Amino acid sequence: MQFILDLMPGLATTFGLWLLILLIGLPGGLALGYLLGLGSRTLRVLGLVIVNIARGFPGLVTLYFVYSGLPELGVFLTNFQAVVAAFAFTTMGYTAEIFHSAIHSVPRAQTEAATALGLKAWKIQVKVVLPQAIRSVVPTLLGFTVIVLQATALGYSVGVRELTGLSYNLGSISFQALSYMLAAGLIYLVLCVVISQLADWMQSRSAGKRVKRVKHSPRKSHPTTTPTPVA
Amino acid sequence: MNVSMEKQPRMTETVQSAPRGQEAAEQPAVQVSNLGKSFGAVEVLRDIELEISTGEVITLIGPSGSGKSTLIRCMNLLETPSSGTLQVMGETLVQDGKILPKRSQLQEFRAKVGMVFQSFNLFPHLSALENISLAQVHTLGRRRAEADERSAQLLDSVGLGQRMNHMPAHLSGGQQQRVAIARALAMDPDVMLFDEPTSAIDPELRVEVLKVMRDLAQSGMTMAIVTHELKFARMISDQVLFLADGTIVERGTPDELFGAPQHERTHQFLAAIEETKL
Amino acid sequence: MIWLTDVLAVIPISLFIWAVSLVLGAVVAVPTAGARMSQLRPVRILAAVYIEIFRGIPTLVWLFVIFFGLRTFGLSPTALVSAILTLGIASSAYIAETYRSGLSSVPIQQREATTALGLSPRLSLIKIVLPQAKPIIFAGLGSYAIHLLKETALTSLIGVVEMMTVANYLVERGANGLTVFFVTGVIYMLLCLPIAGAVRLLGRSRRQNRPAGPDSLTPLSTPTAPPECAAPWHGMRWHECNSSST
Repeated sequence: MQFILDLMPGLATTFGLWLLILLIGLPGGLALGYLLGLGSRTLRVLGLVIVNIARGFPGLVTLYFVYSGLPELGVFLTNFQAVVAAFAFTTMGYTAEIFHSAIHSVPRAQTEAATALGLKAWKIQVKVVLPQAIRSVVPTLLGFTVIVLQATALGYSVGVRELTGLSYNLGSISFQALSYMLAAGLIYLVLCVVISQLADWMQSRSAGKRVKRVKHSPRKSHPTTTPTPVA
Repeated sequence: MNVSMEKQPRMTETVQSAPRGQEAAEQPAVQVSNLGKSFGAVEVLRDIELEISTGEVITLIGPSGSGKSTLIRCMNLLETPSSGTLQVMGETLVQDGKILPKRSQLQEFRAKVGMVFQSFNLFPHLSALENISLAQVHTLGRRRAEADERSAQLLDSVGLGQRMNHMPAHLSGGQQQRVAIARALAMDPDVMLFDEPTSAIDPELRVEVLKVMRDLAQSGMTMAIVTHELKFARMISDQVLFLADGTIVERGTPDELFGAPQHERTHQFLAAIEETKL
Repeated sequence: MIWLTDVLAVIPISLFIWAVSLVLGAVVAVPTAGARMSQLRPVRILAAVYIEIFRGIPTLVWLFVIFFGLRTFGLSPTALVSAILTLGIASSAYIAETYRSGLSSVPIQQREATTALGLSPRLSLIKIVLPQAKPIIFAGLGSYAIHLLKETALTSLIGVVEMMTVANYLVERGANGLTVFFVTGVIYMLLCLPIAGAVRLLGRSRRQNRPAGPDSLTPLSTPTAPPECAAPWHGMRWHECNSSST
C-alpha cells in the first residue's frame, strides 16, 4: 500500500501526459481525418504519409526522434513536452483513420437532405455530419484512450517521472524494484479496467438507443423477403 | 406459391427417401407427450402432445413467437425440452425433461433425423457436393467415393446435378436450400424436420424448394414442417397443427383446419393471413 | 551513413526476439483461448483475468516486472531471455483473444447444422468452424505480429542490444539523431511489409470468394470480419485499429 501511495506523484504526471496528448491528438486526428477525405490529391497523399509514419514507427522511435532528433532542427523540447508531442502525433495518425471512416459512414442522404434545406456546406459538416460521426466513434475513442494511457509509460525512457519512471527510480533507490513495479502495474490495471468498463457501458447505451430508433421507424423491408424471427 | 398437386411435376427424377423397415410401421415415428420448454423464466412451450406416424406429413402453423420452431428443434434435441417425453422411432430420448442417451449415441440418433434450417446453414467453405458428403463420411463412415456418388445422385434428384462443384455463395437461396435438403437426405433419415424452409428465400424461388418437398412427401417420407406457406401446408399435409402462445390450439386434417376452424384464435390467424393477400 | 550498417547488423536480433515471442505466444494462446471459452465458469473467469492482467498493464512495466521478478527468485536471466519471456506471455493474452473472436465469428447456426448431421464437436471444430475462422484469425494474428515487431523496440530499455539500442548509442556518439531515428523507424516499417504480405497470403481462404448469386440473400452463414477498431475495448492495442489504407 505504501508503494502505491509513494507513486501518487507519478500518477499525477501520467494523468497530465494523458490529458495533454488527447487534447492535442484527438482534434489533430479529426483534422487529419478530414484531410484524408479531401479532393486535393497532394493533401491526401500528405495525410496518408503522416498517418503511415505515425502508425508504422514504434512509439519509442517516434519519441526518440522528437526528443533527440528535433534539436538538430533547433526545436528543443523538455522531456515532458517530447512525450506529449510524440504521442499526440501517434494519436493523430491512429484516430485520423477512425474519424475518416466515421465521417464516411454518415449516409450521403443526410448531406443531401441538409443541402436541400439550404444549409451552407460548413454548417452541414458542423451541425449534421460531425455530431453523427463523433457519436458513433465515442466508444472506440474511449477504448483508444486506454492505449494512450499505456503509451505514456514510455515517458520513463526519456526520464519523465510518470508512473513507470517514478517507480523505477524509487525502486532503484530503495532496492524494492519489483514491489514498486508491481504497484505501478496494479494502478495501470485499475485505470484500464475502469476506462474499458466506461467504454463498454457507453457502447451498450448507444446500442440500446439504436435499437429503440429502429423500433420507431416504419418497417420498410418487404415482409415476404425478411426471414421471420424464429417462432 | 403455385405448387398444386394437379400441376405435373417438371422434374423427371423424384426424390427417393431411404427404404424403411416394416417393423417401424406399428409405432409412431415421433411421439411427444406432455412436453414443455422454458428459456429461463419464459415458458415457450407447454403440454405439447403430438404423434407423427411413419410416412405422415404434419405441418405446424401459427404466429411468430408461438413456439413452433422451438418445438421442431426439440424433436432433434437442438433444444433440450424442460419437461415431458420424446420418443423417436421407438427410442425414448427424453424422459421427464432428461436426455437419456449418452452423447455419442445422441450423434447417431441425430443422423437419423434430418433437419432443414430456415437459413440453410450450408458450410460456406465447402462445395455443394462436399457439403453433402461430409457427414456421410464422418458420421456414417462411408467411403469418400461412395459418399460422393450418393451426393451426386441426390443433387440430381433435387435438380442441381449441374451445380455440384458450386460454392454455396454462388447459389441462389432456392438452390442453397435444395442442397441443404439433399445434405439431410444423405444421412438416410427416418424423419425430416423443416424449420421454415422457405422463409429466407425470394418468393419466386420458393416454388423450386416446395416442389422438392412435395416429391419427398409423395415418396413416403415422414415429415414435420414449420411453415408460413398455408396453401402449401394445405396441399401437402396429412395433419395440420395450429400453435399459439406455446400450445397446440387446434389440430386436424387440412380441410378441417383451414375449411372449418373450430377455435376463435385459429380463425383470427387465418383471417389475418387472408387479409395480407389483398 | 556508415552508421547505417551498424543498425542493419542487429536486425536479426530484433527479428529473433519477435519470432520466438510470437511462436511462444501463439502456442500458449491455444489453451488460454480454450479456457476462456470453457463450459466451466471458474476456468473461464481465470482465463479472463489472465488476459485482462496482461492487456491492462503496459508491456514496458511487464518487462521490468519479469526482469526484476526473476532476479528476486534468485534467477539471473539475460536481458534477452526475460525480453522473450515477457513478450511471449503478453502475446499469448492478445492472441488468445484473437483466436476467440475468430472462433466466435462463425455463426452458431453452423454448429447447429453439424449437430443436426451428427458430427462430433471435435470434427465440427476441425472441419467446419476452424476453416471459416481461419481468415479472421490470420488477419488478427497478422496485425498483432506487426504490433509485436514494433514492441521489440522496448526491449532496448532493459538492455537487449537490438536496433534501438544501437541507434541510441550512435546518437550519443554524435550521429545526427534526426536521420538515425527516422531511418530506424523506416526500417521497422519496411520489416513489417513482408509480414503483412505473408499474412495476406496465409489468410486467403482456399476458394471462398463470394460474389452474391442471383437472389442469394447475403448468406446468413458467411462470417464477417469484425469492423475496424471494434469491440472488445478491453485493453485494445494500437494494432487493433486496422488501417483502411493498407
